[in-house]
Amino acid sequence: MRIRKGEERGMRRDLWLVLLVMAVSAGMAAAANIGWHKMDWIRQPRPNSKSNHADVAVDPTTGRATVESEPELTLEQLHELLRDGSTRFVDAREPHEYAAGHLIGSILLPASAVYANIDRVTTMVAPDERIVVYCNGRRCDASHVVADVLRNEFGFTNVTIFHGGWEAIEAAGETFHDCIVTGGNGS
Amino acid sequence: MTRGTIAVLRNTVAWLAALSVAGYFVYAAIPKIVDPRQFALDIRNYRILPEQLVNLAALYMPWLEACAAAALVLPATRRAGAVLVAGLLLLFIGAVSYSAFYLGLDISCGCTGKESTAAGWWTIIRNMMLLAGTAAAVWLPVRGPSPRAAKFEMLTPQAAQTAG
Repeated sequence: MRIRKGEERGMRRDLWLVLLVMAVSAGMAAAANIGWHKMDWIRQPRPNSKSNHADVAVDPTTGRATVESEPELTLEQLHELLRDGSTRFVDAREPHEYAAGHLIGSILLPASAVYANIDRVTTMVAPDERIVVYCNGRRCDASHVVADVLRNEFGFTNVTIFHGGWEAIEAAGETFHDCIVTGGNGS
Repeated sequence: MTRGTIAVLRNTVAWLAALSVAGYFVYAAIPKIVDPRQFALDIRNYRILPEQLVNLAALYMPWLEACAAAALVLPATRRAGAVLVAGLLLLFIGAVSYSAFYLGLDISCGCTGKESTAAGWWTIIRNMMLLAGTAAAVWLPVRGPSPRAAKFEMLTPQAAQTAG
């Protein structure tokens, strides 16, 4: 197929215009978000070392996100919380992972659909009640996403992340056998 | 129907298509520009981009949508705007197909901020309709005769021969 000279010139002009529009968009985005790299509103990958966990919270006076360290919740403490019954557990994994196994009584709130399912938490849990959020393990981000939304957008004041996640619970074996549901049985 | 009427009709439909698609793109871009954090969460939920690129995409894409919409409306930049709008729509269709159908995620499409519908068939159908509107905005318009051609049409055959 032959392209006429005039058409070729037109296509070249359109290509330059496409690049120009893309560059203008980038300029406008940059101008509108100067200092975006300092914002904590979108979590960056975190180091996996035990001592270096940090979570984002919102300063109520300024409304800006601040980074504060959170003490690590151990397996023993988690077991104690499960037994005393005063804590709500939120499972931030996907429905099929939840169906394969989860903590008894935990509420499924997948990070991929937090807003669609937030009623599950807001209708059952008081804002000052203690909530422990977990996902698969240290490398997953779902618990952080869910914890951020619960704290920053729905006003839950006592949200903790169990960083070890489901992997640590499974690895603990017998200790948790009476606190977990496997194979899609129960809630 | 005369050729002139058909041309006017085609141009009107093309303008309406361009304005509708551009209007939707601006309507979709505004909540994302105002609340990029929400859009970043929506992008992340698709599980396509690496974490490091989520911020950047959330900041850049709404502005690209708005600028592409403006380019689509202006006659001089309509084809370039259409290329960008069509590219974005194909990207969205691909992303929804991958995350909602292939990965099976129950996620918000993130199309219009917090009030977005779930990613699924309706998102794909809507994007296809916008794609058709974009195509109509580019291919329907009938170009009027150039001033030189019009001048030739008005001349008698002899005069045209002389002028040519």
